[in-house]
Amino acid sequence: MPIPKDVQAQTNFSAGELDIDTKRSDNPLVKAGGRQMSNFRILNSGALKNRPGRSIVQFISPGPARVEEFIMLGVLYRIAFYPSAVQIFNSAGVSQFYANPQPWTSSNLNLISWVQIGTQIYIAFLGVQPLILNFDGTIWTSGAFNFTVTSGGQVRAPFYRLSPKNLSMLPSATTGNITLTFSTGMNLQANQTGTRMRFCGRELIITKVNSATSANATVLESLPPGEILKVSADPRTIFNLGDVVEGVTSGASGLVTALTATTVTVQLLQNRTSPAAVTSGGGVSSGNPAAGTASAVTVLAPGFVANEFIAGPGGSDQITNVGSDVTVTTPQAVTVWDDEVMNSFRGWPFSVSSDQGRLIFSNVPALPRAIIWSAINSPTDCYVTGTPDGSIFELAPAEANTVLFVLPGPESSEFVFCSNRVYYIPILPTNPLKPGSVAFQIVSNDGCYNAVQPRAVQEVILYIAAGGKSVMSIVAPGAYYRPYETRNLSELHSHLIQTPIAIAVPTATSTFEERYFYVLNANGSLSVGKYAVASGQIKGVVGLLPWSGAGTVNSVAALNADVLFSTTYPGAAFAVIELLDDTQVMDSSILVNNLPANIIAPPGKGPLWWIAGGSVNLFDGARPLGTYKVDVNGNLIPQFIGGENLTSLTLVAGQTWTATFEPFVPPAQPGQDRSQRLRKRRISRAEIYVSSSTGFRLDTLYTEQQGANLNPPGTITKTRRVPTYNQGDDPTLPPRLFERAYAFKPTGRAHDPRIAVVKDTSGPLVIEEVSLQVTV
Amino acid sequence: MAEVAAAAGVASAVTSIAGLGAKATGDVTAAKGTRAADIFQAERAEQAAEYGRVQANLTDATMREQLNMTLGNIESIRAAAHTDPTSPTGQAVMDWQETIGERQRLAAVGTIRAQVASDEASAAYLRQAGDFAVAQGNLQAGADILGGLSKTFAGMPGGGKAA
Repeated sequence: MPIPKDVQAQTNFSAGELDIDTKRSDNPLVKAGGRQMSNFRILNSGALKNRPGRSIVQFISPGPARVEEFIMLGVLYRIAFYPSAVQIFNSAGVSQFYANPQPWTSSNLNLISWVQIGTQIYIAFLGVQPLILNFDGTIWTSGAFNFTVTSGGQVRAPFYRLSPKNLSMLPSATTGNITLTFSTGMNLQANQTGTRMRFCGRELIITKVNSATSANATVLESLPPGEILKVSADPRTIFNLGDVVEGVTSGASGLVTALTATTVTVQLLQNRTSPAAVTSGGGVSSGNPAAGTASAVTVLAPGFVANEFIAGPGGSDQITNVGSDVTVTTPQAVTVWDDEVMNSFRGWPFSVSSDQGRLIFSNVPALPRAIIWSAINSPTDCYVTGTPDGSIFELAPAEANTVLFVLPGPESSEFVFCSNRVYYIPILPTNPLKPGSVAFQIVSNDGCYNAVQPRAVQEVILYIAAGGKSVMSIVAPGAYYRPYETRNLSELHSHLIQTPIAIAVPTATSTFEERYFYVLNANGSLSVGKYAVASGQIKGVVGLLPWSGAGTVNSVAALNADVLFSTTYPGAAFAVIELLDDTQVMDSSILVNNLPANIIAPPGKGPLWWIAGGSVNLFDGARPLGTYKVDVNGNLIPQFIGGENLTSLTLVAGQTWTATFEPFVPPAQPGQDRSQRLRKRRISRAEIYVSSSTGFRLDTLYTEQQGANLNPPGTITKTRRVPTYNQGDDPTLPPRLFERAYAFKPTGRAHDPRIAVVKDTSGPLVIEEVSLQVTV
Repeated sequence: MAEVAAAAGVASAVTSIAGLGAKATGDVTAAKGTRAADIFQAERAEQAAEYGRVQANLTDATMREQLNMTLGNIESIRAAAHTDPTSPTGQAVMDWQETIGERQRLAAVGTIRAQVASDEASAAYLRQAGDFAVAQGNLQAGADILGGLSKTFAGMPGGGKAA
């Protein structure tokens, strides 16, 4: 009795390369995926096509680089981050700007965060002072990011009480060079010199640290003084030390620092975000005129006036009106002071982005939960105010650890990616982004991976989940009370996401309709996922598969339809910037006899001087010529094969890759006894239906028994090649593109029989169907 | 005949002096009337001032309560938005609202207090004006008497001089 056989046909490959441990799974994705699926791309039809090649657009300095594109004033530019340097090129590859030294190294280029606002580029990196690249339409310049300084000397920086709480600061005077004395417990550091603090809302800069509790400082904004108020009733039964009292008439507020039977000593508070117009009475700059003084002034810190009532938490009292009733005195020791959040001592933000006309800082070393939006259209103004166009300084909810990235997303909302949470901030025309409008709505209690910046595409955002093992997306399910949720896009593809360093997502299509995202791993391997978005959701299954090649991809980025790679090739004198190019069938493709203007060979050198001594693959138009050696001067060494024309203007040199598809061979369904799943199985026949084929091979792979003297699993035990040219074809012409089925008879028996379709020669191939006849 | 004429002159003088007394009395009475009217007006102004003071205090208290309510609402809304209570923007928004509220309160209360001050000034003025009117009435009465006497004695035989 013959062993029963099943026939399985795979026409859908959209699940991509799945984790190997799914091979015995009943998961239906197994029938739409593969054990190996490298260097293909999944088509909308579900078929597999040999991946696109890449064209060299320019050379850059050898070694790793991170390269991205941007458009400024309508012109395309490229920005390249090298270890210790940054360079800008125009689209022709001509350098426009170069600046070094910079703080980044080859191992952390992916951690550079940059954003373009108009004609400026803001670059943040690992806590060092951000860099601004400025383009005036002709010339690029660079400079350190510094906060705006007003004509009055106010530095428009963000402040927050970072120093220990409940410690007092005592300035020796309100203006000039002063001494600051802090209460015990303060821990001033020597390198705090040059940093700023605010005393009761007014700025000063530390000029010298004398001890842990003492420093010299220069006042940038006149400090509010203290005042001694003579009162009619004994204030000791009304007020307490530390109470804030307010003047009923003047609106002045002060912190009670001392009480006697007849006086209240206060430290005037300057905590208003806007000058409080005071048209009677005194103030900081006007001394202490008596109540009703005709020559009233508007001052920033209004003082108390004679004869007015002062109210505090415990009641009110009245300032007397008998002369010398309000006396200005030196500042008092109070705890109302704060620290500059970003400076050389506290560190600078790791991450920068922009939205709604504001520059956004996050991942602030001194305050990891902080998000700081600049004032609208004023990126260097981060002084927090309550005005609608003013800077905003919010802290993510206490559960959040570190705000890694802030990204504008669908429908104007902003998404906050924390190390352990993801939130969104609703922004609507009726609730625009302004001080007080920020709300943190939780999207996920899982966090974001810190080394990969999220990317927005269509109505979704892609990011790497904390831990660096999963590609996630934020999608909009359409629910009113739950407008966003997350979805894992790399389930069953975990082996493809290994310490990722970048996500790139083109936002337009060019030569093909399918949409892909690209995840670059630290080891240079690239994972490519095919996705489709419909109605704010990721539609169907996302197929991830690996791409590899002769070069090491150092960075991947996308702008519109462009996918840009920075790649290094063994033996090459330069690193190259490549564009994904569906018209090419090789990586690092370059027209040998029609070099781009910026890749002209030096005098006496051949067109491939940059890879002298190496080897390349050649295509003359669509005709493959095979592998050629390059001599030491960069000239191709002819092989004198038929039809060889090394001066052809359509001669393309590049590097090839190998594409492999290995289907799963799922076990037969359990049921009536046919001894299925109990015996070794044999693929008795494999039928591979292809189109646009320029040849491939089918391998039978060793599996089953393992031992010291046995072949390792995956060893090729039998190969059958489908050649590019068949008998009778003219090899001097481009090969015919075959559309047909090829039958094979693999050998061997195993519980897990394996075969692979391998495309090891350059040229197109579409796998439409793989049908297997397998014993049960 | 001379005695008759003299007697007639004396009678005329007596009549004239009596008229003078009546006029002076009228002057004083009119002044007192003016004063009474001024005092009435002053009392009305003082009442208005007192009412204004009460209104100012009520306005002050109400607007403070409104401000506290506003600040409380902001805090509760921000808490619902999961924002951190220590965030600088939260404090800035509160300060901004407080500034606006304080400014509105000071403007409203200041306007009322200015009206109170005006009413009080009016009352003080009217009281002074009443007193002044009485003094003026007395002076006028005295002047009338003196002027009348002068004329009376000038019309007597001998020009009022002793024979």
